[in-house]
Parts: sequence; structure tokens; C-alpha cells
Amino acid sequence: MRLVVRNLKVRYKNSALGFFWSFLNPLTQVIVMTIAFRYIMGSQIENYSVHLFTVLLPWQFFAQAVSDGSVSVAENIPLMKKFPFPRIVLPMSTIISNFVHLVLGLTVLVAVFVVLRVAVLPSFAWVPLFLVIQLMFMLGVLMMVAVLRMYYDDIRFILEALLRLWFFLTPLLYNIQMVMETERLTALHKQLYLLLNPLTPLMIGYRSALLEGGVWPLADFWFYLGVSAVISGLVFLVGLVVWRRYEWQLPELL
Amino acid sequence: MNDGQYLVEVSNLRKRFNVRREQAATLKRVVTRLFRPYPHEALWALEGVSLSVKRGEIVGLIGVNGSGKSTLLRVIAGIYVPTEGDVVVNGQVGALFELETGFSLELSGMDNIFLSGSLMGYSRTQITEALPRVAEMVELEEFLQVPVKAYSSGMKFRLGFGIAMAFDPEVLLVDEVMAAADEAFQRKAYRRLREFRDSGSGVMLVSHEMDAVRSHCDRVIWLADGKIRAEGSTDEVLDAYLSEIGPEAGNNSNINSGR
Repeated sequence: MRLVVRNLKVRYKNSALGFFWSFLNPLTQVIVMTIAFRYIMGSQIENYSVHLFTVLLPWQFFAQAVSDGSVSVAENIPLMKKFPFPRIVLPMSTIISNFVHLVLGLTVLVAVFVVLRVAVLPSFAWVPLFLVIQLMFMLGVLMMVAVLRMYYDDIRFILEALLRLWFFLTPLLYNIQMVMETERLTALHKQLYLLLNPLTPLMIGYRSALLEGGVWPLADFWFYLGVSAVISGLVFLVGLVVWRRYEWQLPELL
Repeated sequence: MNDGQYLVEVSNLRKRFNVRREQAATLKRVVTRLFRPYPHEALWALEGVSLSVKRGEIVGLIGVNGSGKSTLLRVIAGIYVPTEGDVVVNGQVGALFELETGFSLELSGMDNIFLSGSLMGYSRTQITEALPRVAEMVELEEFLQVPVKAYSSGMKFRLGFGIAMAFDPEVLLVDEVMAAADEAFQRKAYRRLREFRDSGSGVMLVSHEMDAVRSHCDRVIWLADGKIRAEGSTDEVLDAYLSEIGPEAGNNSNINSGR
């Protein structure tokens, strides 16, 4: 876990505001997106900033940890050539240091709630469940991607593009009601949208638990969440198999 | 610790690396040969090595570049997995490999001690307890708060040596790093190695400095092309090695014959 401290220290090594950036980063992003989507594009969602903030935090946790984590193994070959520590420490430490940011961000979120007089709800208790599913998915993805990254540098660019696309395919800037109500998508498209992206039910869940008191905006929310959990579990298992196969060969792969 | 005598037992160890034929893999190449096995060549770095290290000895490991010395040490340290054969290590391992690697350059020497210690599997309290020993060893007190990127290679050596010795390992693996230190610190380092040996631990020392090997090693193993070429008393093996390497090296003989 010392690596986590190192990641954080290196990250804020030469910055005057240091840890404060963990708060400022999501905050500035929310401000920019609020201006763009509420005032310029004219989104109809009430309390748009808070709306955005609740899902942007877990999304950023996902995106940042996956992109940091994909290079965590390749970057630390010197360490692996020096110490025989369990290699899983490397992707895990990127997840944990980004998790620290998520927790800090959530603290800000609660502060924002207080300022904007949004009620702090008992349905917050669902959040850890969503986080567990998300963590399982992330770890599975990372175990695969980090190994692949040793073979192919292209993974970095593919991942970048994929994450950008993923950002728009997940209900972040818009909410799920807008997807379900639109007539431009067929029922099949809507089903695929809900079933194939394990992050979709999670983001619906975060938003609903944090803002709407756990009144799920979908009748079959638990079904879709279950699908998401199953996919995450499978991804995790496949990741684990890949990882166990290659864990002790990692420094030899380059 | 089984019988307490052998610290390291390596039997019939073979290690294969798959070396890529091409420089880099690109997506195009991947797609065009998706279902064909990735082109690679097997490179046998070690081809059937058996050896043992007893308590209370410093074993020198010599051989030209690429003969498998570093690979052997890394397999013993548990960093590489043997392709075939067995490695049994009875005791804590301390390792001192290349200096440039394994330090986080942005962090201070102190932070690096903690990072290395925890990667070696020690707890925060154990590392804190070991700190005075490292500090005494490295003689760098005033530099411990400075980022390692500002260190000279001699200072990095001291730090690495201090960390490797800090946790009282029973087996110490040293991979040709001694040359980075100045005369005085080298003497101190070798003295520590001898004390270490006399207290019942074992050392494997890779070095290209033949004088150092001659004066500090109890026994020498000569590796060539991943196999043990000769093994025995320091003088015999060194003489055999030098007489084979010497003429071939021609005008470069200074590299092989020490200073």
C-alpha cells in the first residue's frame, strides 16, 4: 500500500495546491459541463450540476483508474525486476489511489448538497453495493488490459478512444428517462443499451440513490443491475484467469 | 530452514525467455496474423544449472555478459519463474540489483526506503526499526530527505546496499554494483559482506572486478552460455577464466583483468 502513497505523492509532488486538486478537478469539470449543457444546449434536467456531479465522480473513478492502471504494470517493470512482490499490487494501487479521490470527491458532493439544500438521504446506503460491483468490473478489466498492454502499445490509444465513446454511451450527461422516452431508438436498442454496458445500471443507481431517494427510474432496475453484476463477475473471472497465467512473466513480456 | 546448511539449492535449472523477433507489435501486425502464434524465438538463458550456497560463504559468480548470471540471481530471488528445474531458498533473501532501477526518482531516499521495504514484504514498524541501521550504513543522513534523482550513482549504491542489508537477510544476492562506490565505501561494503558471512549467512556476488572476486570470494562459479563451465576454488576458476578470456579480449584485456 506504500505504492498508493507513492502514487499520490508523485502526483502532487510539484503542485502548490496539492491534494486540493482532488476537489477542484471534478468541480471545474462540473462547472464547464453545466455551462455547456444547461445554458448552451438547454438541458431540461433540474439541478443539473448536482445531477452531473453524482455520476461524474464514479465515472471518473472508473475512467481514471482504468487508464492509469493499464500502464501501471508496464511502467513498473524496474520494480518488478527488483522485488518479488505479488504483482496485483500494481493495478490495485492505482485503483486504491483513485478510490481515495472518489472518497474526497464524495465529501465535496455532500458539502454541495448542504449548500444547495438537497436532502441527504438514507438511500445513500445503496452506494457501497454499486461500488462493489464497479470495483469488481474495474479490477477484471485492469487485469486483462494491464497484461495486454505489455504486448501491444496500441492498447493505450484504443482505451483512450473507447473511454471517450463509453462516456457518451453511459447516462452521465443525460438521464435514463431521456433514453427510455425517446422514439428515435427502438426497443431493442434500449435493451442493448441497458444490458451490454455494466456501467449503465450502476450510474442509474448512483444517481437515484444519491438524489431521488432510491426511487429507481426503471421498473426493472434490479434485473438490469443483476445483469451488470453478472457481467462484472464474468469480466473479473476472466481477468483473474489471464492474470494468474501471466502474473509471474510480466517483466519478461516486453 | 530444513537442515540449516544449504541456504540455496538450485537443481537442473533451465530458464527460457521468449524474445520477440520484431521491435514492436502494432495492431496491423496483430490483425494480419491474429490466429497465428506470435513470432518469437526461444532464448535459453539458463540451460541446466545446479548449484548450492552454504551458510558462511561468499560465492563469486563470473562469466561474460549474457552468460546468464543476472537471470540466475533473479530466479533465486523469486523474480523470474524457472522454466524447468527447482530452486529452494531457505531463508530471507536480500537483493542488490542494478542501481538505476527500482528507485522512485521523484521521492526522497527516506520514502524509497519505505517503498522498497514494503515491496520486500516488511511492515511499517519493521521498516521504522530498520531505519537506523540503513542510516548508519549509508552515511547519507543529510541526503535522506532529498529526491533520489539528485543522487550520484555512488549514493544510489549506498542507499541500495543499506536497504538490502537492513532486514538481516540470510541470503544476499549482489549483481555487479560494487564498482559504483568509491574506494572507502567499497572497503566498508566488503567488510560488511564478510561480517555477514561470518555470522552464518550466504552471499552470491556477481562481479567483473577480478581483484575483488579474488580477495573476497570463498568459491567461484563460472557461467558460460547458461551452463556452469567451472566451479571450485577461487584461484583455480579465476585463472582458468582469465586464461580463456584474456587472449580473446586482446586489447580490451583491462576489462577482464581488473585494473
